[in-house]
Amino acid sequence: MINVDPSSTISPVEQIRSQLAAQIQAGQLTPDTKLPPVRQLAADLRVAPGTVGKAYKELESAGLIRTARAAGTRVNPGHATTEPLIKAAQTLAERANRQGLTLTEAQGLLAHTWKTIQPS
Amino acid sequence: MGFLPMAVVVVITTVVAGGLIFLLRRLNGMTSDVSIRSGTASQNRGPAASKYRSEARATGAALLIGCSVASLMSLISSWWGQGYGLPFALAGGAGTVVGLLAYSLWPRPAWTAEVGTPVVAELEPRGVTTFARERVFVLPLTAAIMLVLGLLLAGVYSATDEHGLHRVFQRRSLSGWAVENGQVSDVQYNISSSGPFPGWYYGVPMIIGTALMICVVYWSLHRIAAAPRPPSADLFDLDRSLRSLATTFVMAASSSALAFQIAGLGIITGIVLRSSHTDPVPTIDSSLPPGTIAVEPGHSLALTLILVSILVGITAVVLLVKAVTISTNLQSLARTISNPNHEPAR
Repeated sequence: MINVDPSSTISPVEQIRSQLAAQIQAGQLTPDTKLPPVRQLAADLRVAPGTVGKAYKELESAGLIRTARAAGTRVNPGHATTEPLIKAAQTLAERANRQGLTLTEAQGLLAHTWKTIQPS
Repeated sequence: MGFLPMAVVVVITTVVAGGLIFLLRRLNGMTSDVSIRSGTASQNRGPAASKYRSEARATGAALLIGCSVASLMSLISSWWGQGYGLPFALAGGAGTVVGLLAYSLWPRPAWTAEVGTPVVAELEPRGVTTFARERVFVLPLTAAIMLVLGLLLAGVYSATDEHGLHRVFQRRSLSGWAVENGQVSDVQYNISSSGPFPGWYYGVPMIIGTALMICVVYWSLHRIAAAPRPPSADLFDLDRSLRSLATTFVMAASSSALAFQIAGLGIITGIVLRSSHTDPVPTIDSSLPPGTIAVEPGHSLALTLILVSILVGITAVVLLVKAVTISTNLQSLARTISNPNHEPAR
């Protein structure tokens, strides 16, 4: 499932693109999963078909999905984050939540750790 | 068909249909198909009930308009003698096409999202076959293809009548014989015709009608599947149940019309073929009419066709009852959704 918040400062195209990309990378959308047609998703999300079309095009450019006339739009293989990484992310989220951290604080912590392991 | 026999048929059909509705509702309790979640927010009940109510009206109007068109075509057939029953043969298809067009074009309230609130959507593609089991679509489509093939075959074996219309089946009939020394001799046969037979005169319009019916059914199912989902996940179950009932209604109503067509054609063809596969036998006593002998396997196959057609006719009545039951249950469900304490009609 994805959602679009019209009151958000993030554009609907980016909301759709980022949620679909996140679900593909998290493995929730498995390779070769068929995505809904542009018109259907646009009607359900109450956005213009061009909005969904643009999000799909960006995902296609990033190689996350492919579109064929007969087969529709499908998820490309090879983009899902590996299983241990998803588990590690879940553990981080659960522990951060238990310690009362907000999502932004947890993300900040991850960003800091990320920088420390980068080779200088 | 005169007015009185038609009235008798309508009364008997209504009584049988009423009885079957009662039985189906007792046995099935179709209202249990839709689960109204206790968590459904009270502000969502109004729009959901409104959707169910408008769907009930659409299905009711479709049935009423479809049956009216079919009855009108039957009446035209009885008035228009030169049509040789062609409007009657097309009545079921015409009723379905007009009824389903009325159903699809019936104004319905859309699920609306409040301005500024987040909207949720599923990532599952919806198609015309999403909201019912596969056999619900495969069986009628197979029946339609068999009907077209049967009409083509009947067209090939049909012959022209005195007006040049391909609507009779030619057969051998006894024209005379002589009796010499107590022995039958000089037996003479000629070709005579039996009808009405579903030759090209009936076949071509019926094939076009069946193709049109398939297109309209597909369009109606596509509209059901393509309509936007509710903006809130809270209403997804109710929406799915409504689409499921609507899909079943379209398929039950159209399959019923198709089955009526197949049954009618099968019975008429069976009667013609049965009489055509009965050979007259000359008798020595010329004062007596000639005896008859059944020509097998045509005679038994024709009888089988009649019996199978009667079964298909019964199926057509059951499917029509199913469509009527869905229509009445939608109204009952609308009441249950708007007032959860309301006991669904049984």
